[in-house]
Amino acid sequence: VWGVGQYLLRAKETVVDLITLLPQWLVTGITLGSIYALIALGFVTIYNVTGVINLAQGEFVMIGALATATLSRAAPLPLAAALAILLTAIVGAAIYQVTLRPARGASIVTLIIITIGVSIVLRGIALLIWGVDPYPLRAFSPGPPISLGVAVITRQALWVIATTGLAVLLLYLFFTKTMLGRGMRACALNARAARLMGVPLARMSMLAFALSAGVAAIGGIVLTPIQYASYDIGLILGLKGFVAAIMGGLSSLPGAIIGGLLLGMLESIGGGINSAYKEAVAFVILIAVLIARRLVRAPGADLSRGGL
Amino acid sequence: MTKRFSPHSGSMVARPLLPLGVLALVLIPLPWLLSSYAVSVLIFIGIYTIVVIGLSLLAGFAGQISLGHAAFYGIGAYTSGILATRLAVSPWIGLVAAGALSGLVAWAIGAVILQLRGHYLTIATLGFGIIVNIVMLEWVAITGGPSGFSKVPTFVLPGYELQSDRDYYYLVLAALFIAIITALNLVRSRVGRALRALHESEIGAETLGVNTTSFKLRVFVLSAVFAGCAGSLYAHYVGFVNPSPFGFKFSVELLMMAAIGGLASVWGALFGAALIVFLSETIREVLPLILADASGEQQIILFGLILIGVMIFMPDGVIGSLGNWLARRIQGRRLAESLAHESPAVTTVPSQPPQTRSSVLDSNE
Repeated sequence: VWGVGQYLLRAKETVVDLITLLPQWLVTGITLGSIYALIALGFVTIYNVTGVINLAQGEFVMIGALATATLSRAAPLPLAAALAILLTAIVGAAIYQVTLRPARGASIVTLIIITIGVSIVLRGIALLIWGVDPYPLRAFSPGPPISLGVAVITRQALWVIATTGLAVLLLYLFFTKTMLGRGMRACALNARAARLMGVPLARMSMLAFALSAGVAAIGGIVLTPIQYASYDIGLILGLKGFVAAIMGGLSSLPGAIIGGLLLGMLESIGGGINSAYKEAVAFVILIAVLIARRLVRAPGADLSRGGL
Repeated sequence: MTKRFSPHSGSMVARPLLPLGVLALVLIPLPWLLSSYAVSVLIFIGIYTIVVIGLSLLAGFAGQISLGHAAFYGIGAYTSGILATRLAVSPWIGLVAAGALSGLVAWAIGAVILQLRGHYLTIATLGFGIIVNIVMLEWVAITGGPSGFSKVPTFVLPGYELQSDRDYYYLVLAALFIAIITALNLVRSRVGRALRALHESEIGAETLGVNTTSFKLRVFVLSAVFAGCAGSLYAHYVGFVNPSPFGFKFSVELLMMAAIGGLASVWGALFGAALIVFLSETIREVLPLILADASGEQQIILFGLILIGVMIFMPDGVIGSLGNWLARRIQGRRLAESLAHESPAVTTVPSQPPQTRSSVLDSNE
């Protein structure tokens, strides 16, 4: 009886610990999740318009972050950030023009392998430019963390969440209110019909790459004050953004946002319970989602859908 | 009427015997002519080729790419290595166990994921590969953690221990030939034809009664068995095992070898593996002469560029595209001959190039 009592007591303590820590994990999770959501939005935008799964997406995050870190030495932060976002968007558009456009009509397998090649090249170039050292960026508004009662939140985390919200709002307005955005949505719905209606498909595809790169760069910039940026951060961030996109169904923009936030929170909780396997959480979720989709046979996104 | 040339026609086994014989004649004397270092490079090429053949079959005949084959390779290395060091199991049994466990794991993943149409296998293998690598790092009690374990014993034949690079060279060569013959037989079998149909059009193949999921699963499992066995060969050759060679980066490199050689081409796998290994060895020696502070990492820029270029201009890989070009030449000449000799009715012989992609390429240039 004594042993059982001890055991129950310890179990109760663990549960109490979890409950008291949970709000803090959720706050941390939402912060990271916002970044994943931004990356996932880029995946979905490119996938919807071009049918390509762009495995170089994470490198845009890295370019945005490192470019800002460098530019902010000479220019005020807002200007440096704006220039970095523009630069990353140009890189995105150029990648479409130079690598994917010449290969249009090729199989999806070929296109995926090309994006892998692109990510390798971008990472290598970043290594040449920035070296292996991590680059810091100071917090946008320095100051002590803010207490929310059950949890504390850093000022930079608020910046991350607010910036993500603003970016999502702007994207929503772009896709619903502007001709360009509507054109891109038309391509996503039915590429051939869109072309027949006079929507220039190639230009829309290029725009999708520019837009996704720019959004990913924003994620990289707001993240850098929290964790340093270096040439190799893109791979793992990109993969997690991809997991978030898959969680949201791969072709849904709201799904990508929810997927990103959910992934951030699950990862934060998983890491809180067992920190050794924190990095594995996202990929376990990924496989669980795929198995679930197989079991439920949800009519979710079909990855083999053609495009371009 | 002239029979249309097809690269895949011919008897089941007779055709590859000639190139295999030539390859054996070239490869068997090599360790007596080359330095020990060169032989060790060739051993790695052989081991990688075994994995890449599996990837190539998977991509070319099942239309699926795996971004997690480094994990299957790693499972093989760890299985065989742990069995031999902890339980003193014979490396030969370890080799079989390595292939079997990799295959079993692949079966478990594939049986669920391959029923989803599309490229979910790519995503699942990607996630799987990363999880396996993290487990290798963190499950210290079994795997030895980041530093892994050493003193993996060598293979032993009755009365003879395989110790020198030359001994291992012949062991890997034998394994490579078994892999090549297995793959070529698969390519030419009824299953192979079904798989090619599958690659052309999955729906078309299904309509004709091909159980696409079952074929894809078989090829996926076979490719994992190849990778697992190769991992075992690796572990007993280098004598130690740690997580670093089995990460996402190596999965990408393996895929790169398969893609550059030509997906669906067994010979392309050999070419791709050899090219990438030779290039990385060469770059490792040459690059520091050009860039003073160059680290091994910069070589990947070149690999990336090669990969992009090959995929844009030769989506069937270097060997595949050369093969198509040759096939077209021969076909063109036969057509011209038959036109010269026979009535104009022969013009109805289909004369389009075997690969529609080539025409896109032509118009670009």
